[in-house]
Formats: sequence, structure tokens, C-alpha cells
Amino acid sequence: METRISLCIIAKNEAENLRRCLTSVAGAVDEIIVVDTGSTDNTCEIAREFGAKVYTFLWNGSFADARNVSLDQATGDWILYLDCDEELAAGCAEILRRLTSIDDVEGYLVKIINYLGNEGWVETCPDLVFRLFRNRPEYRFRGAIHEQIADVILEKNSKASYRLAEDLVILHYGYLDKQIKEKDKKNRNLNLIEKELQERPQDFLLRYHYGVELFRAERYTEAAFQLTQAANNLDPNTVYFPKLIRYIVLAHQSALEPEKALQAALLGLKLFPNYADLYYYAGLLYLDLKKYKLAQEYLLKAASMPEQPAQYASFGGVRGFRAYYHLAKIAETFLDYEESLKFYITSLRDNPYFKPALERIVQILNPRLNPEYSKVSLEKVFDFSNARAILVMGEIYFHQGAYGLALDYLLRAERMEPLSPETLLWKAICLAQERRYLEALRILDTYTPESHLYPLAKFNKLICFWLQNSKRKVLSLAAELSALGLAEDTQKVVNLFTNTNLSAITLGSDGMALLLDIVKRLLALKETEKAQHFLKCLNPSIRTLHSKSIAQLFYDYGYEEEAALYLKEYLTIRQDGEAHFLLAEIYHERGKFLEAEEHYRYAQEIDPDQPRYYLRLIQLYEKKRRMILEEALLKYPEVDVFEKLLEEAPVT
Amino acid sequence: MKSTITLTMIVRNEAANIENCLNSVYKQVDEIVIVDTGSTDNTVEIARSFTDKIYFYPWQGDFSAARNFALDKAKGEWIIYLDADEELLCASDELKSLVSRDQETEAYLLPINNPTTDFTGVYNRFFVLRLFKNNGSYRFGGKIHEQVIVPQKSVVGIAESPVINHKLLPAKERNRKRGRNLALLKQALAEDPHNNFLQYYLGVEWLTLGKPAQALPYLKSAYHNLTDEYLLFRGPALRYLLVCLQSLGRLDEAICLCLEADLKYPEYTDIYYLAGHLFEEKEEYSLAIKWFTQAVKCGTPPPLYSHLAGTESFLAYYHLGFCLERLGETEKTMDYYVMALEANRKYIYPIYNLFVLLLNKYGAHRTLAYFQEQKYLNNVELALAVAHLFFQAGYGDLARECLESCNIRGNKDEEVKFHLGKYSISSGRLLSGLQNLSEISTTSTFYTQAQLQRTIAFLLEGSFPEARILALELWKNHQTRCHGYVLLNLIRFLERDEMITPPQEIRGMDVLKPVLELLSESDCCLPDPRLRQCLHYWKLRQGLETFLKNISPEGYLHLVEHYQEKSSDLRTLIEYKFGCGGTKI
Repeated sequence: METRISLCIIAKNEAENLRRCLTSVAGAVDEIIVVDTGSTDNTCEIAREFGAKVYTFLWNGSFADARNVSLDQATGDWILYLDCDEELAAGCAEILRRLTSIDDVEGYLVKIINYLGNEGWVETCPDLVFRLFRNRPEYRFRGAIHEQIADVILEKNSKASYRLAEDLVILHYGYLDKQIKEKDKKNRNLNLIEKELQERPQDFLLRYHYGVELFRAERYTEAAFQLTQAANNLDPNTVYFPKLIRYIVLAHQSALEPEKALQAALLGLKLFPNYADLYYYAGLLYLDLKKYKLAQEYLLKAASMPEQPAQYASFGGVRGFRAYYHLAKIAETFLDYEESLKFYITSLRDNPYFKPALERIVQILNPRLNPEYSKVSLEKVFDFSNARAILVMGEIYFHQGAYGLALDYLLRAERMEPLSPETLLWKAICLAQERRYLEALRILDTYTPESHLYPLAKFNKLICFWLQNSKRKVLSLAAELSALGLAEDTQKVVNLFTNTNLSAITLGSDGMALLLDIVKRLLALKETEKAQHFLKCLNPSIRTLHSKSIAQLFYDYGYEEEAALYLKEYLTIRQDGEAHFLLAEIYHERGKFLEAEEHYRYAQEIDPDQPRYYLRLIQLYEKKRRMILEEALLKYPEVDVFEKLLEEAPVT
Repeated sequence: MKSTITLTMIVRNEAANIENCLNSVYKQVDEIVIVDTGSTDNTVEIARSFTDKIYFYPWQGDFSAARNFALDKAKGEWIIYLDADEELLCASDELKSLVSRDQETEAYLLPINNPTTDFTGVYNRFFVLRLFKNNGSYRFGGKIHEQVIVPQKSVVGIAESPVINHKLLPAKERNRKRGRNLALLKQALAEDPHNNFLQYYLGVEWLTLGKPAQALPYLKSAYHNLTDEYLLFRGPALRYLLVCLQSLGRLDEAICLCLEADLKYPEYTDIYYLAGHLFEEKEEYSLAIKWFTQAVKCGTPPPLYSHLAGTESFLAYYHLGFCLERLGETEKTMDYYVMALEANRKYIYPIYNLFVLLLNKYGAHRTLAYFQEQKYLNNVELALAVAHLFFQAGYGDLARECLESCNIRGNKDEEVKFHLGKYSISSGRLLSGLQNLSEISTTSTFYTQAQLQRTIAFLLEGSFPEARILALELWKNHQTRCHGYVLLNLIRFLERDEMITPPQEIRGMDVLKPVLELLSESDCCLPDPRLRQCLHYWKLRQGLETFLKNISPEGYLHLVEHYQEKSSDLRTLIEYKFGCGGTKI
């Protein structure tokens, strides 16, 4: 006789999710039990639509009680337990039948695929959970965590055997950005587990769950402590153990204890020498500790790991784009741009939507000063066949101030699909930056007062006319803008365009951001005088405060002399490693070695953990040494040793 | 009634030491007998203020004879004998109560501390027979390293105090004495070739003269032939034999000896320590750690074992720290270095390792804060050492701070002031630097160096006339003529941008040397960028480089080497800091 399967669910205001969940099990189970814990939406109606037996449970603060009500009502031989934000993967019905027809098994660890939404794209993280077990009256949930039922079953029936069923797959959407639950739930879980732990302090599996909940509640030090306790008392062969180790690593890392985290990771690798996540985190921890060589070694190791078993619950990208991204950053730290480009590209190959890598590549190629080169290089490497990729490229160029290139890509994207109002505005700005004012104005005129971009569009019209010296148009646009009721800061910036005699203007951070963006655009247009004029209108002490960012803009567009002056201005108020470094770079390029050396050394003193400060100084010393040798050879051509040393000297 | 005690001494030309020795002991004894074997200084006059029992005995190349002559003159019931370069660390009446402690004991072994260097507080402790009944049966034998001949062992006791403290002789004096000893010992051994004691002493002399190959046969023979009855000698013979084998690179042989000795003498701390040393040299750090740990556990050995003080504590801690550092256990490493410093503040070596560790882990400012918290800088020696480290790492300003917070002055006053001045100048604080240097008296050993630093300070300040006066003074002094010459030219360079072609030598003195010194010192300078009085620092560097180039091709070579060194130093540093050097990692 065929076995019968009951699906058990508890739900509260889950109308939307429940439909997906129940649709997925249609035909796979023989009975659906839904226990409603107080929905105010149409959860119950939807459940009935799918033929579920719906029961109401008066919420008493215990998940276990609610879940057990659903078990009490189940009449099947097996229980499949799901949450509303989960569903069964397609094609699981047959697998479910097969699994439940095997005699000597009490329960199954099945595969769950967690969907994580962060950083703008979705990734998945597989794991194992205990969700399929025989329906017996003594098998009941305990505590806040599903998994505890696996322990209960073993307590009741020490001979119970579990199996791994990786082909039965549950999809879990609960970790997607929009679904992440409120903090209350975490605290509620914590309280429940704490109570349970008082009753059973020796239950180390429970302690593990407790540690995980503490971690989720961002109480990292406590989490690390509890998890370590669990690890010291649990059998390393339990299916949770690899994850447990990873949690210990993460908890220490988040508690800002990189040494302890590292120790845990290295210990874990002795037990699970193929666990990519541990290599990956060990790599990151070595990075934290500035041990770059070891960091590189471990990240490479992570990238070389084979497919990870489900119980490792390996995070996406640790064997791929994430590892490569950090490898690239290490190479960049050591000024090895070739190597770093190689790794960034590998990272992007693994995940074409991983924007941080693309941004870094563009930054390295320096499209402001070498537009053609960076364009050609990127075209070789990337596939620009879809609008999204092209648009992303345009966006990155736009933000990095390479307006000509940005325009190219925006136009290409536009040929494939219409641009959004925001992107359209970028296009207008790019056109203005190419001094194609008429086309720019044509776009800017399309924005109506209803659009939230209207003031910005108008402001850009003002800039277009100002660049063409149409004073009257500028004045009238400024008046129109003011009539819109601008923020004080914005108004002050607008005034700069109408009144050339302003001085000692004070701006807040919004105003400064706006002004710096204008300066950037002026520098891209090679309108240095205009840019300098605006900056002179600023209150000197405020300008000094921002002079590092100003210097960076000048430097980015190749105005080194001006950049040096702003850096010196900045250094009168702040001892800053980056400012010293940039100043040193400028001196270095101009062959002023003593001054360059001085500033590299100041940079080192202030921030001793930046390898490039040392590396550039080494390059400087080597260059200097070469020059001395060349000079010596010229003066004493008869002395052989100079020629010999010169031949051996490294070329930097 | 308490027994009477006579101090006997034989002396020759000990004016520098004898007063200190007599002061330490004259209150504890009833009679002082001094035998002079031919002083030409005022030893005798000094002695006369303590006693009128001064006798003359013409030197005949035989220590025992002279000492026995002194014994003949003693009237006390007990004899204690000391050398002039020793002192007795003795509580009042301690000696008296010791001799009346029991009736059976006729002689006592007393501990003697032999310092190994003059400032670290590391010393060797031996037990020697120096206190005995004046009953005629205790006489000296042996022409050198003469010993009291003990007729009956059972009546000899061991006392852990009072302690005899042996003063370290100046190196020159030490070597002179060694040469003399060696000759006497060789002669004695020729007359008595199977004398194990002479073998032992001869081995030690060769070893301390840095000739382990010569020492080895003597020490081996002494160790193998002396029985445990003479543990007082067998112990140190074993120790020196181990040291000897180690310095000959025969590590495995030494380790075997340790394993053997460890079974026989399980209480002998020094063996564990030396074994740790051997494994450390073999780079077997985990094993070394086991042995050093055992040394700590073992504690101070029983009195009969000659013992290097500290092997059970700070020396072992220091080495434990070192080995752990090699194994990458940074946290524990620091603990051990700290423990070593806590156990003996005079033993400053761990501070160097600690400094490097802290600097790389926490950066310079937090390193200084740490030393201040630990109150290390209250100790003048430590403060000077730490300051020097900061200076060399390019943190002149922090070096200055180290010494500012060090408020214990005294005999190091001028040294502190000099360095305070130098470090202030290196960090751009010219005025306060000049102030510190001007407080150094003309008689100080630091005076000349101070004048040099002052010249540089004036130079950096742009006060050229003042600088010129000082530089001329240096020039007039024969010893600093080259420095003066270089500085005069640098002044001209800074003032008028002129640089001459200097000669390679001035009156037989190399001109290159002072320039290179100044150049490497100027590398440690990094004036505080907030002080804009430091414009001349870079000009000075430029001047030194130009000077070098103008001297000769050799000058160029030195400059090339200088830059080579600078880049390779940096490579080493980043290798240490980040685990990789160079551009490719």
C-alpha cells in the first residue's frame, strides 16, 4: 500500500507566499494542514482554495506548540514540513514518493536553497535541513528551531536512522531583502532558546542554534562563546559541524577578533580540508591582519576548491567572483595593476553583474585621461550584447567623470531600449560636457514640473547657458530655480553662477557635494579658470577642509600643479596619509626626489599599513640609485664598476 | 660569647676597589689582615684607615703562599677571605650568627655572584669555600685558583647568604689578568698533568678568551674525571663543556650530553636551559620551548650546582618568547617578553623584540603608549634603548617623548640630555634641542658629540654664523677635524649653494667617514611637518649627497650603496610586515 504524505505549515498573514508554497506541492502530498496563528489577511481563504485543512491556534509565544498542532492534525504516514516562504522545487513529487517508500528510514535531511538578496543581485546558498520524517505521536517539535525535532526523534528512538536526500529540494525566499523579518522575531527566538537551555544546559546542538540566533541578533562575542562551547562538545561528524565552524569564524570576525577567527578557520580546515568558505574567510582575515601573502594563498585555495557538498552551505562566490575580487584588490594594494586587472576580469567572468569589480577596472584604466585605451580594453574583455550591461558601463563612466565614453554607451543602450528619466538626464549632462548644448537642452526641456528631476534639469540648463556665456538666460533660469524654493545650500551654489563677486561663501555638505561635482565637470571641460574661480568664492576655511577632495579632482584630470597646492593647503590642517602620498606622487613624477621621499615617509608614519607607500619609496630609491650610477659613469667613464652596477640595476 | 672573625686579603694595586670592599665588611669582622704583595699605588694608605695590620710579602708567583702568609697573621677564631674586587652583601651580624650556628661545622661554602656583563644583571652563581675555622688545618694549595684544602668533608656546610659579589673588571684589565692566568695555569699543569681542577680552569680560560677548540679537551677531561664529590666543579665543567660544544657547532653532541646529564642531575636548571639553547640554534623551536619551559619549572637549583642566574626566569622567558615568535605565536610571544622584562628590568634585550612586534602590530604611537603604561620608560636604561629604537625607525619625535617622560636622572643625566637634544633636533624641535645640548658640561663624555649636534641644529635653523663658530671649534680639535671640515662645507652649501671638491683625507683622516655617518643619521630624521622650521633638512641631505659625489668615485659608490641599503631595508620591512616583499607578491 502506498504511503500517505501530510504537508504541515503554520502561517500568519502570509497570503502571498502561501499561494506559491501550496502551488508547488500540488500533487506531491496527500494532505495539507495549515495552522493559522492569527492572520488578518486572506491567508485562510487561500489555504482552503488549495484544499487545506485549516486550524486556528491562539498564539502563545511558542513556535513548537503551533507546529505541533499541525502535527496533531496530520493523518499521513510521513510529514513534510515547510514554511510559507518556501516551496518545493519542480519535479520533487516523484522523489518524495520514492523517499517515503523506503522502510528503514525515520527522517531525511533534504537540500534547501536559500535565496539571498544583497548588493543588488540575487545569489543562492544551499544547505541541509531536516524536514521530512515519519508521523508518529511521540515525534513532536521542541523549541524555536525546526531542526530540534531531529534530536527529539533520536531521543525517543535511539535506533532511528536518517538519510541524506539531496535531490529533494526546497527553495527558500525568506532571506531576500524585501522579506527579511523584523528584529522582534530574532529576540523572540532568543528568549525561547534561552529558556530551553536552562532546562537542558547539556544540549549542545541547541547551544549551536542559540549561537546562531545570537549571531543573527548581532551579539557576536556571545555568539562566538556559545558556538565554541557547542563545537567543543559536539561530534565533528554531525552534519552541522562545518557550518558551526564557519559561524564561529564569522562571529569572531564580526566581534573584531580577527586572530581568534583565523585560528578557528585554520582549525576547521584541518577537519574539512575542502571547505572553500573557510579558505575564503581565512584569506579575508589574513587581509585584515595585513598578511597579504598568506591572504593571497588562501584566497587562491578557496578559488581552486571543488563543488561544495550541501551540508557546507557554501556561500555564493567564495570559490569564484568574491575570491577573485579580493585577489585583485591585493594585487592593486601592491601596485601590480596587470595582475589585478586579470583577477577583476576573472571575477566578472564568474559573475557579470558584480559591479564592484567593473568599477575597479574602469578606475584602473583611468578613462578620464585615456578614454580610447580604456574603451578598447574593455570592449575586448566584455560582452556588451545586452542593454543592461551597456547601461551599467555608461553609468560607471558617468560617475567616474569620463563623460565622452559615458555618452557613447548611453547612446548605444538607448538604441536597444528607452532610457529612464534619470539616465536620460545623465545623457543630457554628457552632451553638455561634449559642448553639444543644443541636444542637451532639447532633452532637458522635456522634464516637466511634476518630475522630481525637474529642478536638476533646470539647473543643468543654467549650466549649459552659463558655459555659452548667455548671461541673460542664466539670470532668468536662476530666478526660475529660486522660485521653486531651493534648499539654502543649493541656492548659494546657484548664486555663484549669477554673481561673480561673491566671496567667503559657506556651504554645508550637500552644497559642497554639488559644487565639487560642478568643479569636476569644469575640469573635464578643461575650464580650470572657471573651476578655480568658484573655489575662490568659498570661505577659505571651508575650502581648506575640502582641499583634499579638490586636489584629487585636479589630479584626476591631470592638473598636478594645482593638485599639489591644494594638498599642501589640506596638510596645514590635517596630517593625512593619503594627502601626503598623493603629494609625494606628484613630486616623484616631477623628479623632485627628496621632497617625494619626505612625503612618502610622512604617509608611512601616519598609516604604516599601506604597502604602496613603501613600494613607491622603494621604486624611488631604485630610480635615484640608477641616476647616481649614470652620473658617476659620465664623470668617471674609466671606472668599470659603475657600468657593471648599472647593467645589474633594476629598471623601475 | 660570639666567636671572633678575621678578614684576610692579599692585594696589589687595588686602590680603585679596596675601599668599597672593606666598607662592605669591616663592621662584620673583629680583625682585618691585609697582605700587600707590592702595590705601587695608594692601596696601602687606603687600607690603613681600616686596619693597622698590614704586612708586606714579596710576590713569588704563588698565590697560595701569599694567602697562607696572611692566615699566619690572623688571630680570630674564624677566617673569611675576600679579594679586593669583591664585596660582601651581608646583613649586620649575619656573619657572626652563621659561625656560631652549630658546633660541628668548621667551614662554609658561600655563594659568589660573577656578573657576565656590567649592566644586564646576569650573573653566574658559584659556591666557594671562604669561611673557615682558624685552627690551622685549613691552608691554601695551588699556585693559581688556589683553594682551601679541606681535610674532612663532613664538617663543611653550605650557606646561602651572605653573598659575595664579584665586581666586573674593565675589559682591558680582564684580558690582562687572563693572559697572566693562562701562563700560570699552563706552568702548573705541566707540573701536575692529572690535576682535574687545573684542567677545568685552563678550559674556562681558553673558552672565555674565545678559543673553544683549545678549551674542549680540558673541559672534557675535567668533566669526565671529576666525580660528583666535586660537584662544585663538575657542574660548571659540564656547563662550560656544553657552551664549548655549541660554539664549535657540535650541536648534536651537546644535546646528547644534555640528555645524559638531565637523567643524572634532574634538578639542574642550567642543563634544561642550555638544551633549549641548542634546539633553538637547530631551529627546532617546539622542542626548544619544551626545554626552556622545563628550566622555568625547575626553578633555582640547589646550592651546589653552579648556576647562571636567570636561566630559571628572565633568560628562559626571553628565549621562550623568541622561539614562539619564530613559530608565529605573536600573542604568547609578547607575554613572555613582558615577563622577562618584569623579572629583570636591567636585562633589556627583550625590549628590542617587543618593540619590533608592537611597532608592526599597533604602529608607533600605540607602541609608545604601551611602554608608558608598562612604566618601562621610568627605567633610564630601558628608556634610552627604546628611544634609540624609535629614532632608528624614523620616529625622532617619539624618541624624544620617551626620554622626556623618563624622570630618573643621576649618573645618566648627561647621556639622557644628549639624546634628548639629538632626537629633538631630528624631529624639527631645534630650540628645545639646543637647550638640552647646552646643558651638557664640557667635561662630559658626550660633550664633543653634543657640539656636533648643536652645529647641525644651528645649520638647520639657518643660523649660519653660530654654526660656523662651532664648526670651527670642531675643526680645531684634532679628533673632530674631519667633522668640522664637512660641516664648514655644508654651511657654505646651505648658505651660498657652493660646494667645493674636498680632499679624500685630512691629515691622514678619512673624510668619507663623517659624511656617511651624517648621511645615515639624517635618514632617521623626519621633522614634524607641522613645524615649518625644518626647510633645511632636505637641503642638508642634498648637501651631504653632493659632498659625497664630489669626493671621489668611492664617494659615488658609497652613495649608490646607501640607496641600495635603503631600498633593501624597506623590502625586508614589508616582507616582515605583510608577508611579502617587492612589487610582485
